[in-house]
Amino acid sequence: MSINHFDSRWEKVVRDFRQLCLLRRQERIVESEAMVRQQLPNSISEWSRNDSAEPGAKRARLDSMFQQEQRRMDDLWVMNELLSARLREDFLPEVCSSVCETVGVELRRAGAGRDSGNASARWDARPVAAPAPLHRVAFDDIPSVIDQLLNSGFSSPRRATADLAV
Amino acid sequence: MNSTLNVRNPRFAKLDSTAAVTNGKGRFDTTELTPQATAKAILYLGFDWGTNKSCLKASYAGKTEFAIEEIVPTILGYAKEGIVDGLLPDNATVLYGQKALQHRLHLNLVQPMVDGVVKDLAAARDFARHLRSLIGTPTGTEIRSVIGVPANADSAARENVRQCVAGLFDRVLLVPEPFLAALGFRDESRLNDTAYVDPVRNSLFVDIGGGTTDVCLIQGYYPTSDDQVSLTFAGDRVDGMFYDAVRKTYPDCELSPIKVRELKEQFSFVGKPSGPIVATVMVNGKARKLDITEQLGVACGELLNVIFNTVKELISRTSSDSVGELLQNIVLTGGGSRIRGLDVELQRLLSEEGYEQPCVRLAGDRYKEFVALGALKAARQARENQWQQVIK
Repeated sequence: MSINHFDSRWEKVVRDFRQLCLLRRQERIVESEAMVRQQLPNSISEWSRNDSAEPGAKRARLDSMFQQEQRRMDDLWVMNELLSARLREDFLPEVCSSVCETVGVELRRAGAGRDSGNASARWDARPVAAPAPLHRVAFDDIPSVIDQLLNSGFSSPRRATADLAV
Repeated sequence: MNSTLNVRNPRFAKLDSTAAVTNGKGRFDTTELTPQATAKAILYLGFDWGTNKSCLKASYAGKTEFAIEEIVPTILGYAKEGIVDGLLPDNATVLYGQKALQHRLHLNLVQPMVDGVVKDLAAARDFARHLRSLIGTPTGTEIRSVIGVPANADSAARENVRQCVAGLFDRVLLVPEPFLAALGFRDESRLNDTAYVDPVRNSLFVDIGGGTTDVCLIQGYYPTSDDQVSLTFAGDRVDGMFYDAVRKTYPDCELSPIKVRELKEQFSFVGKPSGPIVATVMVNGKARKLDITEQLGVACGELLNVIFNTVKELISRTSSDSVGELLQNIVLTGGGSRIRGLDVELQRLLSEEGYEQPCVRLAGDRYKEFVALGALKAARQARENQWQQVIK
């Protein structure tokens, strides 16, 4: 058996385990169960049958990979949460606000010769998306409190950014 | 190849659906799993890892009764080299909590936490392992723990806590202690009782622990950073001031940190003492009675001053509409709340400062449990996807 085949079998084990982590994170229980019961054991078995290393070495390699992949998934997940929150709370409102302002200016300019006063009043009265104010969470809404702690990095592991108090 | 990698291994067929991502090593490790391993029992654990006392409260998912309630002094002792066999119980090399204190003569005592955060990582991990051993769960039980940490704990301090419990608990969430103290203090069963004042409606919590004093404003919302102040002037600093003052007055007296704490817990007071405080301490190997009234009064009085100034600071941050009600709900909790007269003196100082009819009260005898109780409440309500894995 060529080295390439060994590698591809190992790569498949890694890919399957990574996929399993992702499915778990996404709470896709049925698919993850299928993965853990069938696909992943098959991949591991296939790789193991064709790998001549000592059983102990194989176990160690698997263990190491499992931990490494989980750690990667943890880090990626935290990053995803942070970016999503940033996008939702900062970036999108800012873009909306900017677009609305630009459109308003252009419309006012276009309608200046006709009925500029009314147009201006109409646009000023429209709700403009602005950066969201600091969101306060009800004391007894524990899941939302935890969300806030996770977003701030307080409850999430290995956050590199500056610490935010609660 | 070992059966671990055998596709027909029942471990793959009966895997706990929650364990795969949370603890891959546990799932695929080489040890044999017992039949209970597939049982998916979840134990929720509220864990207050205090500088001087640690409190555990746990219950199984779907159950209301506590599976464990423990308060353990946060201390451990490693057997001194060369001690004779049989001197320590079961010839133990390490003793924890009360046993460590009892046998301290033959142990090198280590306090793993200082100022509310991990100071000695190895000792803290040993201590956490001991606490884990107190939780007698069937094999395969998943332990999900909410752990209280000081509100101002930095990322390194929080990471240390995670490292200490990695492999001991399956999933964790770190939550600031002041919030947990208030959550634990709140009695949800009485919310419909018109005579019950909901403490989270508009209150000021002062949680005086060994390592930190947390003053937290709670007005129906989860407190922001502006609503709370966490100070490292707390019980241990009082011990230090008290010790220095006693040694200054009585240079020959021998006081261990444990003895200092015992004296403080027995005699501490603020305000006017009811009489002289005379303690028996060792001086040059002989028991002597020493008057420690002034030394203890000054040290405890300093803590009172710090709390008073912090409370004033937080009151100044509230809106004028809410101050009246807030002043009626100043709650003292934590071990420091046992200082005699602390509530009365704080109330007097606030009154003299011009605040209108302040009311300071004590959280009560269960003060040691509130953080852990709040942590358990939080654990039971956390969503499945909020739990964080801890990896060694």
